[in-house]
Amino acid sequence: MNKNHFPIDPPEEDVIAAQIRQIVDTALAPNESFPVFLWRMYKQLGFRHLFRDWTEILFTLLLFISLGILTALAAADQPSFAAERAYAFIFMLSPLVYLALSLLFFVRRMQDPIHEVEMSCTYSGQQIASLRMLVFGAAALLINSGVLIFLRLRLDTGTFNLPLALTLSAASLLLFASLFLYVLLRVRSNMMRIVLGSSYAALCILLLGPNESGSFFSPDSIPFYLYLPLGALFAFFFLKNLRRLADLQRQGGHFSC
Amino acid sequence: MDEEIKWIRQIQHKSDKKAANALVDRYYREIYGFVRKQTSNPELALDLTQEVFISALQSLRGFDGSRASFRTWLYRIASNRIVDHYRSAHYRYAGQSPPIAEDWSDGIDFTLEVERRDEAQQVLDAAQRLEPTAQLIFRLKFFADCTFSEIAGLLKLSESTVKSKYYALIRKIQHELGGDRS
Repeated sequence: MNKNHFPIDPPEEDVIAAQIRQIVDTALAPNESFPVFLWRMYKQLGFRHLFRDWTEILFTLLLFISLGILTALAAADQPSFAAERAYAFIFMLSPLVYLALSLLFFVRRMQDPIHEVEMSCTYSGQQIASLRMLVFGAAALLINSGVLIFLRLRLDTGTFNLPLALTLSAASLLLFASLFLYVLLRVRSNMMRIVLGSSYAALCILLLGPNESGSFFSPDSIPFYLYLPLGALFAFFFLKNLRRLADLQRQGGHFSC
Repeated sequence: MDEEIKWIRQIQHKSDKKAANALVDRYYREIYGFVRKQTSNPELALDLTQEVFISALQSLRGFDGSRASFRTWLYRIASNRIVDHYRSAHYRYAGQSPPIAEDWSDGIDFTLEVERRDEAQQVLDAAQRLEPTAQLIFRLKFFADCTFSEIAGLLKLSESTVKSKYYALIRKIQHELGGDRS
């Protein structure tokens, strides 16, 4: 490639040196730390924009809470009620709620081109969805813990294992969060995403259904302390994928949702 | 080449500024020359070259050395950037003169130089009306002096396709210029 049929005068060496310095400084701007990136993203978007569909979120949450209470009441009346079923319920509920909220988010995005234009100026749909997942996950962990502690205090049931319920709830949410991000980042086909989401929901319903599968969550089958490393592992995968989103931002690259 | 791979890895993994300096320094003059021959003034060539390298460094994580050499990849970015420039509203509305390799005519008398510049301008005008792939082939052949085999590798086309497209575009340009130039 160097035959150089049309010779040109290159710039002076000091001009070239200055240009190279400028190129490197601009292209390799110092990486901000991951928590700083998350905080900046949150500050830029603001709570109102991040959860601009808060009425739908509230409605979905109330719907799920009502369904949860009704299911719990109906299950408690059954003579065959087993605490294991309650653990299965705890394991499935938070991810299902989030799945519903995510679907709401993406459906709204598809229906609202203005929202897409506003958001695509700075962050991709995946980044916003992931930050929502993080905020929701943190809130859900707190709420779950509060509800479980409340239940343990109010219901003096010897069969209800609070540490197991707490670790199970955290591990389930982190498992779903890491799977959710993985699908968002790696699976490009919308149809495949829908199939995977539906499969997860179907699995949840199967585990909650009228069979003995609830025993999988029994303290005898998996002790609560095993959920701690599992939860840590899922948290690690979640944060790793979330970090990848920050790298995408630095590269200026976006995926389409 | 091993050194180059090492620099690329250092940039990909550690955003190493020293490695980035060395890598840009190795190719800066060559890419500047490629851009300068296709632009109307040195300042614009400096700006476009800067954009090419910034874009290359920022997307270096996506660079796969097994599919193309870094140099090939850089030429592709530079070619696309130049095509983008000439398709941009800024270029069309700013009324800039088309690219001329001003310095290629040192030592030629004034009349001849004006004629050659005029011809070159007409050729480049015609090239800018070509479809993007044909434009890339034209620019790489004329301004980077690439061989057909190099262009084929660059654009992931077969060498025979590149040749046929090249001769077709030359015929088209000749036709547009009145069929009297070779």
